Amino acid sequence: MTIQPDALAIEMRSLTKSYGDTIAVNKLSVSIPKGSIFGLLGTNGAGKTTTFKCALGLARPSSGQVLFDGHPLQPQTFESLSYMPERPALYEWMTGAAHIEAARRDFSKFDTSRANELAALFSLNLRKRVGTLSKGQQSALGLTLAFAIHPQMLVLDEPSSGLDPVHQRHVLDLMIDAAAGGATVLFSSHQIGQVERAADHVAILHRGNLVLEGVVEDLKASEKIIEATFDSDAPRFAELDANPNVRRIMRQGRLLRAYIRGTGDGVVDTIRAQSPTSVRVLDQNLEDIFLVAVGEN
Amino acid sequence: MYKEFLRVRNIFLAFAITVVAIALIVFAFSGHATVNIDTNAHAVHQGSGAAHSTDSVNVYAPGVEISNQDRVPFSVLLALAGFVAAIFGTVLGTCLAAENCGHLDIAWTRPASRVAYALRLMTIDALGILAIFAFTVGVSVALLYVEHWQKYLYPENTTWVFLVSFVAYALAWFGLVAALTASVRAKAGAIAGFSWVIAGALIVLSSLNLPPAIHTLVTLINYLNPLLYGSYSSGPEAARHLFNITPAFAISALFGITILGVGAALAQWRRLEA
Repeated sequence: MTIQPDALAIEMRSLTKSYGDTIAVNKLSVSIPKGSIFGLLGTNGAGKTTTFKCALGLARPSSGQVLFDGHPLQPQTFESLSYMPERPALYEWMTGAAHIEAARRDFSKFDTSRANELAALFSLNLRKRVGTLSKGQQSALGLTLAFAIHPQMLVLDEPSSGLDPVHQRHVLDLMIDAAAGGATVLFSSHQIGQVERAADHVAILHRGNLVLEGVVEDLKASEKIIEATFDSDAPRFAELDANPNVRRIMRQGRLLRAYIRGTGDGVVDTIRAQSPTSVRVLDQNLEDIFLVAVGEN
Repeated sequence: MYKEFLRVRNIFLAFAITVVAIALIVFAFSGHATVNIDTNAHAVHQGSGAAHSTDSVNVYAPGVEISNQDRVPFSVLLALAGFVAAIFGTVLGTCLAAENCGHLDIAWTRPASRVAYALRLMTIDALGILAIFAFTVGVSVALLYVEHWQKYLYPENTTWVFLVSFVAYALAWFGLVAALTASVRAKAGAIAGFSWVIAGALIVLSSLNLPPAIHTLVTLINYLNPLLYGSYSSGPEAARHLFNITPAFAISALFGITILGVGAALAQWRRLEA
């Protein structure tokens, strides 16, 4: 699906970041439509945080380009773009209230009453110094600051990190609410269930490479699991190994599980030819898709 | 910038509370207190006629015997304030290094360029240094008036030269430390502290009989040493003679160090990665 350039909030073109011989992000090209919630998935060290830092000018890309609303990053971009890093970069000696006051002075659209509402939502005591807050509370303060400028774009690196399940749910709701209001949300998370619930687009990074990208529903619809059981150990299928639609085959005793693209009709027929005791075609969830995508590498 | 305002305010308040507490203690025990003010400043007081290089003024509380009738130039207070402000200039000079310790993600995602952000930060720090300088002078004068010691002070024609010189001295330390620490993520405090030790060592080295090449190198480095230009005591004063430095040159050099230091700090900081 081609998206018109003016419908893109963020566009990364062949973004590459190397540290010496190590390539942290390799020619990453991603287009993030306006108003979407875009989840970036990957294992530890996949390059998610580096991607964010390069995109936001916090680290210098080795090559490539990132456009925000069709334009290269400018200082003024941050009037309408909020970033929340994985480790909240807050000042330990300042109180939450002082952070809010500092943000109010720096961002022309900062909404103090909104910030106070969000602080109440996260049960934050704004009179406490940041250094005395737990990691989850610090994340909550970071989120409060990020959402209180009514941004058009939000870049959130592990936004739920350290939060309890109740507040994690609040974060998802805030992201969905922001997107419903026209904002674009780019976020990373290790919690695939949350990504599945909130994101409409997803990209999977593995060792700096983009291994899968697409609309979540399309990916789920186009990816199936064929599960077959046999009387004895599951046989090997040379045809399946050669089939480009078969992403991965897993054998575990009598159980055979094939992760496939498309409906898998041909694959089912191939397996049935070996007289299994049962064959089931299951939809993949995002976790299955993620594990297969990462496993393929 | 509110963050930096709070940082400077907190440092200033801590200093002010300490100074006022000390002043109150001095006042409370003034019946027993003795203040010795050394006026080893012959080179810069030539022609003033009142102070000599070996003069010492022992000032006692009212009603107590005064052992030396000589008076003290007002510039002594400026030197004291300059020294105090320079120490705080050293502390505040680590402002960019403080951002490097895990705060760049928040500092660099403000709607301002890195240079503009850093310059605003440094402007607030510079104002803080000026405030500490003015406060030190003010408290010193107030204490002298309270203790009726003001009669031992006299103004000089060159007071404004000392004023500018010692303000520039504090700012030069700020600029120097900013340049030395702008790209470090840790140990900025140690670098700031050692900068005084190294500056002192360079002054000492400049007066030693070193091989010509090393002496030239030390001399050149010393031109960037604030200690060379702003000192008030006899040691560095000798160094001034050694380098044949006039007050105008000293002031220019101190402001030059400030500008160079800030420029070097900005050049390093804007190229860092979070």
